Amino acid sequence: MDIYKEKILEHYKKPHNYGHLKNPDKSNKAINVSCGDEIEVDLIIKDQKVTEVGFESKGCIISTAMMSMLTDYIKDKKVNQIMKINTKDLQKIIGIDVSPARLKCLLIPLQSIQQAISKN
Amino acid sequence: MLNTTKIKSDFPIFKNQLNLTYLDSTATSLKPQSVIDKLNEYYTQYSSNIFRGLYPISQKATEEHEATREIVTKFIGAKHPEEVIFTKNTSESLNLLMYTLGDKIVQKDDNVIISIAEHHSNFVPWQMLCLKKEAEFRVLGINKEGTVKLDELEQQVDSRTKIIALTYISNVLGTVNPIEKIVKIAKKKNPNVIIIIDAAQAAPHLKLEVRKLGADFVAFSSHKMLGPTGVGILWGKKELFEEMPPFMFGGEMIEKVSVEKTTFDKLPHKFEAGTPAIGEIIALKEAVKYLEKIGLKNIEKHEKELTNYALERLNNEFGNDFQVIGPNDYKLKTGIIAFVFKDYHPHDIADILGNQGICIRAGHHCAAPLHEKANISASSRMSFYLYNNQEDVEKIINGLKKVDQILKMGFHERSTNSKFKQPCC
Ligand SMILES: Cc1ncc(COP(=O)(O)O)c(C=O)c1O
Repeated sequence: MDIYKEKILEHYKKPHNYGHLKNPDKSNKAINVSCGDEIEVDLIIKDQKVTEVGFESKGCIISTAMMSMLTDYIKDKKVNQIMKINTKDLQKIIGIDVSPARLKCLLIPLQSIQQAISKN
Repeated sequence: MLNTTKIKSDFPIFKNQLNLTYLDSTATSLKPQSVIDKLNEYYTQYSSNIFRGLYPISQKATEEHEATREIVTKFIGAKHPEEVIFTKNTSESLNLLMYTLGDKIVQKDDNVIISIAEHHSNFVPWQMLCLKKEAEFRVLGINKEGTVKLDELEQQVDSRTKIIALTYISNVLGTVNPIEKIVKIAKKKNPNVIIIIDAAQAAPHLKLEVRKLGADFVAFSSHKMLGPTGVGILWGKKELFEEMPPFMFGGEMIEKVSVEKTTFDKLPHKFEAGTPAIGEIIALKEAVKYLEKIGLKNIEKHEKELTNYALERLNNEFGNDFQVIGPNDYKLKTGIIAFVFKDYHPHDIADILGNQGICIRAGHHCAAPLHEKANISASSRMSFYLYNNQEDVEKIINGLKKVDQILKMGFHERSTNSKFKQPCC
């Protein structure tokens, strides 16, 4: 796996959409107990679309870069579309083949967002 | 120090993986050619089942299989080969004890004592047993030397303590529990208490003397001591094994079976249902022979010297950026160094080192309670064995410098005032 890829390191070092939002419609915290990653995400949703997203996290290169790219990706997308994103889509968005041992590093970012959307 | 050039030449993996820096023997060790040859010998020359065949190759396989039991018996300082049971691994050995002995002797309001530094294999089975039996699960703390607090042990053992299960060497801290002392203290307070030792990290690295330890059961794995995977060992006192019910039912373990009734075979077969990992057990004896040829005392000394060198070099090179989990003193440790490097994620460290051919472990090393206690979610771990040398230490130092180059100036360092704090230990 090419963890050194420039694009990934850039997102890791300067993640997009970093920081909490004021008055979010939905917030969620996702934790991966096995590696200690934590992601807190805030969403503003208008007309069933995510208009703003912010997050803070503690995690590895992959989960941080994935969250940075994924938060870019979901902006202005319909929530029902976001709920349909799967592992394959994540691989495409991040642009690297992730080893099976680290697939979960891609998944927590997605879970954090999908869980936030599902909250009442 | 051992002649690692010679030793490395006995391990074919170094010829096939030219750039290999293997620093994860705590997870599993590499295998010498003699072990691989023996495994091959069984499959190519006398591949057959044991105990049942009346033909020569089956007799040969049975002899080879039982010869391993004899050699292991001597290797651990045991008296009777029938006290040496072959299982699948340390985890199965410990689960066997939980299901047979634990289930029988632990009742409501009794207690079982373990320590916070246990591997999950010696933690979860006892926790589950206590939950099922409504017994108390008592967890001993560790002192700053990284070993079990003896005063706490003395306080916690009482007349309702049925089992004490402790690790000999911690797979995270690399520290060595004073088992003989522990047994004395515990048995003085309650002579009937059963003491179980998880020797998964001890058997490969120091001279194990099961009778001298005074414990009732000792468990370890072949794959961590140069032997094949799929073989675990459980040594225990004969009179205790005899009172225990079998663990699994089936072939090889019965004496007589009829529709009305079944009686069980004698030790060790009573605990060895079904066809075992025959070839692997046969090949294990070559691992024992190899270890004995080098000498456990020499291996222990080699690892200590290498740990001394490594700690000195790592501390010099990285200062406070490199934090050892547990004591940072080679005198208190075997060749296991779990660490936190800056606030870099252990998975990133392991991945970047892995790309340079350096194998380390990242995560909680199956000791999550210990990490929780130290307030860290995960760590990295390097570990040494008889084939490692100072060159390997230099390689990981260079590797860590590269990790730093790639990851430094990340948002991690800029966001230290965010509420996500850096790990500490
Ligand atoms: C201290 C300790 N106990 C138990 C085990 C479990 O051994 P196995 O995986 O062979 O069952 C290990 C292996 O990592 C260990 O280090």
